[in-house]
Formats: sequence, C-alpha cells, structure tokens
Amino acid sequence: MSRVVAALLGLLVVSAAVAEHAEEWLLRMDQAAQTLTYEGDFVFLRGGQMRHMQALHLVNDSGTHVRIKAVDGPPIEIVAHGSQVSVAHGGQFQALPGSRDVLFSAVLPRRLWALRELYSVTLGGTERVADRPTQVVEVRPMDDFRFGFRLWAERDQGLLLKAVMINQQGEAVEQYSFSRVDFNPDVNGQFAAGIDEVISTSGAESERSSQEVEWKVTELPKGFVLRSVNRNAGEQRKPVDHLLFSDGLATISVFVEPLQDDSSSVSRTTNVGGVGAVTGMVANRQVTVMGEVPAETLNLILNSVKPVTPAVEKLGD
Amino acid sequence: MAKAADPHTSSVTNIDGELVRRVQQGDKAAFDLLVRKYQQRIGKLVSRFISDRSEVEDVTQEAFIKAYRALPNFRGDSAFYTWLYRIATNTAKNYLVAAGRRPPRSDVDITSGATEQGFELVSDNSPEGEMASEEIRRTIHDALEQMPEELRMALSMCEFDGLTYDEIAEVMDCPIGTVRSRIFRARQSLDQKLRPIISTTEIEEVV
Amino acid sequence: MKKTKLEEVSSLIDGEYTGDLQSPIDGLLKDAELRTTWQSYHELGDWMRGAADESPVRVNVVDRVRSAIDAEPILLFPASQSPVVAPPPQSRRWTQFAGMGIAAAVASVTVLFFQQPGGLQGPEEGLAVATAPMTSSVPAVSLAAVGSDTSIADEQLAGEAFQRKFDAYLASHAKQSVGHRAQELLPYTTVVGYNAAPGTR
Repeated sequence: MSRVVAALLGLLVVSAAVAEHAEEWLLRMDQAAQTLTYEGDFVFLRGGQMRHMQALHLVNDSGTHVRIKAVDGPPIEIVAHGSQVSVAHGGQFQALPGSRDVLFSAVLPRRLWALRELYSVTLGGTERVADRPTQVVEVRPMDDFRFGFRLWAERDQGLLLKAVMINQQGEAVEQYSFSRVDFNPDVNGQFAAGIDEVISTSGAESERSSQEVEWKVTELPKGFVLRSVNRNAGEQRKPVDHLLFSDGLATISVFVEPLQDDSSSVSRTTNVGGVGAVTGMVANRQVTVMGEVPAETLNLILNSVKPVTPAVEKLGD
Repeated sequence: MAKAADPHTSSVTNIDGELVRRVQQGDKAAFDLLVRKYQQRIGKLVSRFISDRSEVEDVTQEAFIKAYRALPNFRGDSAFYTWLYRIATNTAKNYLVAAGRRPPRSDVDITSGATEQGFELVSDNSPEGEMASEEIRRTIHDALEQMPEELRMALSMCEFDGLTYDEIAEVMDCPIGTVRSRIFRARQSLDQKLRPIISTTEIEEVV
Repeated sequence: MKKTKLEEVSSLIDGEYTGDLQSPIDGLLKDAELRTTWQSYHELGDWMRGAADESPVRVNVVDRVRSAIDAEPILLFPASQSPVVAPPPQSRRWTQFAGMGIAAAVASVTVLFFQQPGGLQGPEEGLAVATAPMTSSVPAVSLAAVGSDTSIADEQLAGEAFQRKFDAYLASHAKQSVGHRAQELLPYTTVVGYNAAPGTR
C-alpha cells in the first residue's frame, strides 16, 4: 500500500520525535511494515532450530509485493502480491486459498486503547540490530492467555527488525531477527523480478466475499476479534471453514471440516515454536485451533466452538 | 495491607492472588472461596473426559484437593486458574488410567482422535441432568429478557464484553456508582430467580 | 447494611472493588450468606457465558472439599517465600461471540503439540510435550497411546498425512494473519520457518 493510500485510510504518520509513548512505537512499526520497501537477510529461531531467509518487501503503485525464500534447509519460497499468496516447495508455485475480505480488512489501524487493555507496553533501551540503532519495546500481556513480546524497532524507519515471543515462564519460544537490511534495494533486480508473474500463473483464487458464519466461539480471551471468515477447499475437495481472530498482536485460527476417513487426525507430537495447535471432534466435525498463544488458550477455545444452529451440526453427517 | 501498585496489572484487583496468599499462610477457609468460584468451570472441564455425573464430581473434588496440597509448590508466575486447570486435566486423565478405562479396540475410530490413553467419549448425561441445565438456561434467558433495559445492558457489557465499570459508565453515560449499582441489581434479580431452581440445600449451608 | 456488603461482593467479582482487599475477603470468610452470594454470582456468570451449558453436569463439591481439606495439614508457606501471584486470566473478561451457545458434544480432544520453550526446562505439568529436535535437551514424550498398538507403517502414514494437514493449516493461518501481527512479514516467515524435512518436525 502506498503512502497515499495509507494517508487516505487515515493511518497516522508518526515520526520518531513524536513517538515517545511506547504504544506509538507499535503504530510506527505497523506503518513501517506496510509502507516501506526493504530487503534483507534474517534468521528465524524456534525450539532450537534455525532457518535463514532472504526477504523482499516492495511497495509501489500496483500494491505490496513480498518474497521470502529459505536459504538453508528444505527449499521453500513464498510470494505475495496484495492478498494473493503462493508457495513453492522447490517446485511449482501454488496459490493459497482464502480471501481477505475488505470488511474485516487488515488495513484498519489498531486502536491504541484496545491494545492498552490487553498488553502493557513499555520502552526498553536502545540496541543495535543488523547494524542499525533500534528501540526496544517490551510488550507484556495482561493475562495468561497470550504471549509476551520483546520488539526491536529500527529507530529512524520504525521497521521491526527483531522480535522475540515470550511464554509465561519468561522463555523465548520463537525469535526472528534481521542480520542485514537494505531500505533502498534494487527493485528491478533478480530477487524482485517475477513476483507478479508467479502470482498470475500459479492460479491464485479469485477474491470471494466472506462466508456466512456457521460457527461461533463462545469463549475468547478479551480483545480477540473475528477478522476473517473463509471457506476453502480442503483435501478431497471437502470444505474447510476458517475463522481467524486477532487481538492485534497474536492471531488464532479455528478450522472446521468434516471428519476425515484417513488417519490424518491422529495426534502427533511436534516441536514447534510459538505456534501451537489442538484438534478435536466437535459437533461431528474435526475442529482445529491454531495460533500464537499458549496451549491453555487453544484448549479453552476448542472447548467452546459451537455451530450457530443445530442444523449445521447435522450437516456433518 | 495496601495492594502494591503494579503497572503491569490492569484495574482488575488480584483476588485470586490474595486468596492463595491467605491459604499459604494457613487460612483454609480462603481456599473454600476459590472452590466456590471455580467449581463449575473445573466440573465442565472434567466432564469432557468423564461421562458419569457422580464420577465427575469425585474427580472435581480430587482436583481441588490436589491443588490444595500442591499450593506450596505454586510459584505464582502463572495465574491460579491456569495452574488449577492443568491439575484438573491431569487428575481426570489419571483417574481414567487408574480405572483401567480404555475404549474397546474395535470401537476406537482413529479419526476421533481418542489417542490419549483411556479417554472416554463423553456421552449424554442422565435425562434429569439435561433437563435441569435446560431449565437453568431458560430461566436465565427469561430473567434477562424481563429485566429493565439498563440493568441488562450493564450486566451484559460486564459479563459478555468484559468492559470495566469505567468503560460501561462511558458507554451508558452515567456515573460509575450507577454502573456498580445496576450490575448488582441485575445479579440480585437473576440470583433470586435461580436459587429456587438450584437445590437450596446445596448452596445454603449452615456454618 | 447487608445490601452494601452484597454489592461489594458484586464489585469484588468484577475486580472493581476499590480499596483494600483484606476487608471484603474477611467479610466473605465470616458470613455464610456473603459466601453463598459469591458462589452464586460466579455461577451466574458461568451460565451466562455458556461456560456451564456444554455439559448437563452441575457440580457441587464445596462441602466435600471443605471436609477433605479440614483433614489435611495446615499449609504454612514461609512468609519470606510468599510468591507474588500473577493476576488471574481475567476470567471476567471473556468476550462472548455471537450469543449463547448450543450444547455441542466434544467427543474427545487430541493435543497435537504446543510451543516448546528453549529446551532447558522439563515438560509443563499436564500438557503434551513436543518431541525435541536433535539439538534440544528435552526428552521426547509420545502422546499417542495408539502408537503402542499400531504398526510402524500406520504411524508413518499418519505422520505424513498429519504433516500435510498441518502445513495447510499453517499456510491458511498465516495468509489471513497478515496485518494482524507486529510485523507484516511475520506470518510469511512462519510458513517458511516451520517447513521442515519429513520426520524432523
């Protein structure tokens, strides 16, 4: 989204001089992430595993373009243009399903007061990341149903360069850090080339309006709001309903689909970073709750997923 | 003893913390208040694992007792309810394992995900149980409908939307004292309608 | 006046009691009616938020727990070690989405996995422990009791199918998360960062 669009949408432009209050740094980070063009190398850490990636975020008049590529480990690359996203695992790119409905649009600016009720935001010191001065911002949750964060925002541009997700025990569960960042990348270079072409040839699904909500969640931690509803084609073309909730810093997805007759519902234990998931049978469906929140939160939400009407439950047969 | 100001807590005063502190200083009666506060939620959690009503009560009771015994180990760096929740889950699972309960092999549908050892499928409870909770639900629903608008609004914003009294006062454009009073009167009204349905011998004990 | 005391209980429950907590708590401990009201109001909240309507079971274990605890030793936690107890998960602050619930039968819940901390501490009590990658020092604990009876081929099949499903979920989750996290790239990096070779997840 260009600066013009951002301004039209009423996003505040908060400069470094004004952003003295910790919460304003969050706003700054938001804007920077959405409006800046930058390229860099970064490291992603979770549970003892490390992945190096290269990323490009390009904003021009035709919108926002993203490309992220793993430079070690199994090949994987993700490309986005606006809300169309495609992924390749070393081979062909495939479009990810689902549309981001304008009604629930991500461009709505965060309401500072809402975040204030959920997280206590304070400024830390200044540190160097990717050879840049950054402002440390501490984000502590007000309850035990979400994680905390420590964030490092580049002092002049406001871009988040490093982030650590912290659990209730004060341990880092996931970490992300730029080792090099360039705010004047070669946008005609090789890494930038071909993003549009990938998107147009990978069969991106057309935008669809949001679905009727057939499922509801009766227990949510404070501040989590429904942000999008999608019905996607899952395996074997059976539909998967996907509700996404967010409190502004963390997101939680609820997936509802028919019970599978294969063995994919069997539990596996997996080592992951900040994203957890639980799954279970609810109202004759397989329901999975996934998000950057503690397991208790996922469980509590899973317990409270319900069909909006009894008829919906019967359709699962 | 005034509560130390902690900039990282919201306006919610830390009742659980205070009660736990008292129990840890030897006041058993303070634990009773925690039981009264959380027993329904823990009961609901346990009933996901166990279908028989009286067993649910047994296990719920056991969970609370375990929590009491484990309180010296409670470090206080997570919320009491989160900690209690974990204990209750453990207690329920252990109960099933100890009772040797495992769904018969042929009936285990692998897709139902019943891979935790010995989990039972929660089946319908007794007809009496169902009718009773249906009646409670209906009573609350009717009572809310019949309540004066401003009482219902205040209570709903508090219970459903999680607004603070300050926020409700802002929304309803009235003083905080009025909010406090409206919420209280709404609760009084619901309570009066509910008490006759919930067995009185259960709630009102002579101490 | 009794009504004032009852109103205090109402405020206390919402965390809106202004003043020293000691006094109303003392009152609760001494007065049976106040205690009953405390219990009722909490239960009312549970019912309103649908917390209790999922199962028909309404428990009452207050008396039984009290008798049992009466027989337990009194706890004496040395004052110097009294922890600062974290505030509760703001149980009053639930948001109810789309009205009161209709009872749903949650047949069983399978915990797939959850976050693994830095690897220095043991498994959290009561929660599933993720299998550790080779570099972590946390011992692996397998949740799947089914595993002891199924063949290795079945497990592998289940594992691969599950992994595909997890990848799909994660991708959808990430795609919709853009704009709702602290950095726009974070959801994309999640997809890339969680991708692992089969068997090492």
